[in-house]
Amino acid sequence: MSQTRKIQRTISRRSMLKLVGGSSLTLAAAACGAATPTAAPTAKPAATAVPPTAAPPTAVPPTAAPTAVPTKAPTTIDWWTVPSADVGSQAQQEALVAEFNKLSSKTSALAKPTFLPDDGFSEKMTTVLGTGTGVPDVATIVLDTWFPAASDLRDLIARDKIDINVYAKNFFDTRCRFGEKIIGLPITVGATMYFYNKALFDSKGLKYPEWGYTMQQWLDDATKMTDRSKKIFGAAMPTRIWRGEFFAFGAKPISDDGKTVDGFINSAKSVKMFEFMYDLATSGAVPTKAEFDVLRTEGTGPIDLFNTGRLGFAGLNNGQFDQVDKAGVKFGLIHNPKVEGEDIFTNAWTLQLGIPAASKNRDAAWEYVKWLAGEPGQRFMMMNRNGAYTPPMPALWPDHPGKKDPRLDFFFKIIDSTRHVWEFAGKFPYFTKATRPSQDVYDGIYAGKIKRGDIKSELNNLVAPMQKIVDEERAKLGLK
Amino acid sequence: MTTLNTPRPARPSRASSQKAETRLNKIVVFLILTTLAIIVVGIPMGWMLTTALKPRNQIFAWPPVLWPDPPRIENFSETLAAVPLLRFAGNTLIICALNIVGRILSCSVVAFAFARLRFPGRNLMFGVLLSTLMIPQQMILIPQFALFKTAGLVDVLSGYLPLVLPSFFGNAFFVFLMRQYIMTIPRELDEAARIDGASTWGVFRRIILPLCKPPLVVITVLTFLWTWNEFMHPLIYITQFDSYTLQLGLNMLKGRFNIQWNLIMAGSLMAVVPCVIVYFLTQRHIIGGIANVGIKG
Repeated sequence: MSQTRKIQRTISRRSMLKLVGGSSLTLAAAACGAATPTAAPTAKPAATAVPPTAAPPTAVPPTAAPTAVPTKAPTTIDWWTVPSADVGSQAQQEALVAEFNKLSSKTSALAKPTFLPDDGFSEKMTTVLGTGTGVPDVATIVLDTWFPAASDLRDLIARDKIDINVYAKNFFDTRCRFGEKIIGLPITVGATMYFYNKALFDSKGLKYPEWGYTMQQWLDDATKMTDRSKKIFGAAMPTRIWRGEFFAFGAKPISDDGKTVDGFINSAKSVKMFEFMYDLATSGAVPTKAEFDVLRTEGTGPIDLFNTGRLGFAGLNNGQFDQVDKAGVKFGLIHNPKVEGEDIFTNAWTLQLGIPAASKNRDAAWEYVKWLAGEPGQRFMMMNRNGAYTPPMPALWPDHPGKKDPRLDFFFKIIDSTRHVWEFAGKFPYFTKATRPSQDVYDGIYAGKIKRGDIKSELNNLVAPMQKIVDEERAKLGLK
Repeated sequence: MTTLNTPRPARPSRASSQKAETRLNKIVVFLILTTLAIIVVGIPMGWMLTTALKPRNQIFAWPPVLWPDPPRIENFSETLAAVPLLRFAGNTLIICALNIVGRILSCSVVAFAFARLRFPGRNLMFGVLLSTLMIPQQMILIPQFALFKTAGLVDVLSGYLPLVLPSFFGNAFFVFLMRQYIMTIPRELDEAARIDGASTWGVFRRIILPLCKPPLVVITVLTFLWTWNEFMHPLIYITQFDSYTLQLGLNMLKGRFNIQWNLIMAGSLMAVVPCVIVYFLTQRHIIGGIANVGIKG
C-alpha cells in the first residue's frame, strides 16, 4: 500500500494552487477579451405624445409604401414564424417573404424567415426574451407574458400615419394593446365555433342547433347522441378553463380592474359555471379524462374524434374547415352555447405581429410589419391561401376568395356579433398565470376528484393563492 | 424373492426437485417480464408501425383498426416530401459524432484523474461534480444560452457549436461511470507500467484506456441515443432551417391545429431505426459495461 502511494503521481498543494490561480487568470483574461457587444436595445423610446387610442388621420390607408429613402444596403431582418393552418404552410410563407423582398430597393429591408416547430416556438421565444439576446426582429407576440418585452409601436404608427381603424376593433383592442402601448399589428383572425356532426343528429332525429342555442340544450343533445358501446360521444369537455364556455355564465376570475379575486372566482356565477362543468363531466356524454388526455395533450383535442365520426360537437375553428371536409364528415356550425340572460362568448383571436424591444433592426423590422399587416401583405395572404386565411381588415372581406362558402358568413357573424374572451382576458398580462390554480379545480372536477358539493369550498380555497399571484404580478409590472 | 430384485422407481432427489422448481420460477419470471415488455414497449411500437401505414380516417376509428387496410406506403414518401428528414438525419449524425468524440476524450481524462491521481480537494471536487446531476436541465437553459450568446458562440457552425462544446468539458454521469470502472482495474498494472518508465499520460493511454472498452461503449451509445433524440437544445440554438436536427424536423409535422399522425409516425419510425440498430449491435457491451461498473465499483 505504501509503495503504491509512493508510485502514485501526486500534485503538491503549491502546484495545485498555482494551477488554480493560473486557470483563473486565464479565464479572466479570456472573458475580458471575448466580450462581444450584446444585443443592446436600440429601440427608440416610445413617442409619448401619441395617445394610446389615437386614431391617426383616417384619410391615409395602411400602405406598404416605403417611407424611408434607402441610402444603404438593405438590412436583413429575422422573422420567426410557425407553419400553421392559420398563417400558412412553409411554402406559402416563403412566397410571402419573396413578395416583400421584391420591394427591398424601396424598403431597405430584406426578410429572412426562420421556421420553427409549433411545439418549440414558445420555449425559444421565452428563452431569448428572458436573456434579451438573440431575439428575432419580428415575431408574433402571442403570450401575454411576452408583452412587456415587445417594442411600443406608437411612434412608428404616428410617423407613418398608419390608420389602425382599418382593423377589426374587437381584435385590435384585445390583442394589440398592452396598457397604453401598441405592441403589434394584427394578422389573421380566427374563432372557435361548435362544429356538429349532422349524421349523428339525423340518426337520433334531433333538430339542428340554431342561433341562441343554450348550454342545457347542448348537454341534452350531447347526452342523446352518446353511444358509449360504439365509443361515440356527444361532446367534449372544453380543453382549458376560461374560454368562451366559462365566460358565457357571466363568471370572471378577477375583478374588472384586475386587482381583486375574492367575490369573483368564488362568485355565484362562477360556482354555477363549475357546477355545469361537473354535470357535463359526469353526464357520460363526454369522453373520460383518461380517454381524452392523450389527444388533449397534443393540442388537437377533439378534431381527431370528430373526423372519425365519433363526436357530436367539437369546438374547432375556421382554419379547420378543410380538414373536416377532407375527412368526409358533414357538419354544421353553431356559436358557443349560451346561458339564458347572458351574452354569447367566443374564443376569437388574432396574431399580433410585433418587434421585440431588444431587436437591433427596429426600423427595418417595422417596414416588414407594416407591409405584412398592411393591405398589400394581407391581400396577398388572403388570395394566396385559397380562402383559408381571413385578414383582420373587414374592408378586405368582400374580396375573400371563399366568400361564397356560407360557413365563412357564419364565421363573420360570430366574430362580429358575439363577445370575445380576450375582451377581458387580454386586459391583464398576468391573466394566464393568475388563473392557473383554477385550472387545477377544473381538472379535478373532470377527473372525478372533486364532488359537486365541494365546488364552492374549492373555489373559496383559490382566493388566497390567486390573489397572491395577482399582487405579485401587478407589483412586477409596476401597476397600483 | 423376485420382488426384492425388482428395481424400485428412482425417487427424485431433493436437489433435482429444487432445480425443477428454480427452472419453473425462472420461466414464470421470464413470462411476466416478457408480458410487461410487450405492454410497455411492444404495444406503443406496434401502434407506431401500424399508424405509419394507415390512412388518416383509420387512426382513431372504433373499433380500432389493428392492421391498415390497405397499408398506405405513401405516408413515408409524403413525410420525406413534407420535411427533408434525410438531410436532418445527416445533421444529427454530425452532432452525434462530435458529441461522442468530446465525451470520450473529456470524460475518460477527468475520470482517470479522479480515480488515480491524488490532489488536494479531490473528493470535494468529485462531490461537487456529482451534485450537478441534480440540477434540472431546464434551470440552466437560459443562463447557458446567455453565456454562449455573450461569448459570441451561438451562431458559430450553424448553431452546432453550443450543442457540442459542452461535451468537451465532461459529463458528470459519464465521469462517475468511468471513474468507478477505472477503480476496478488493479493498480498493479499502473505500477508495472511506471516501473517500465511510463508517465502518467502513458499509463492512461497505454494501460487504462484500452481496458475501459465497456464504459466507453456505454458512453458512445448513450451519447448517440441522447443526442439523436434531443429536442430542446437544438431548438434553442439552431436558427437555420437547413441545419435542423431530426427531432426538430419531426416536430415540423405537427401543426398548430392539425397533427398528421400517420406522417409523424412514419417519420418517427424512420428516426427510430438507427437507434434500434445501434442498440442491438451494442447491447452486449452496454449491459456488460453498466453491470461491471455496478458490481465492482
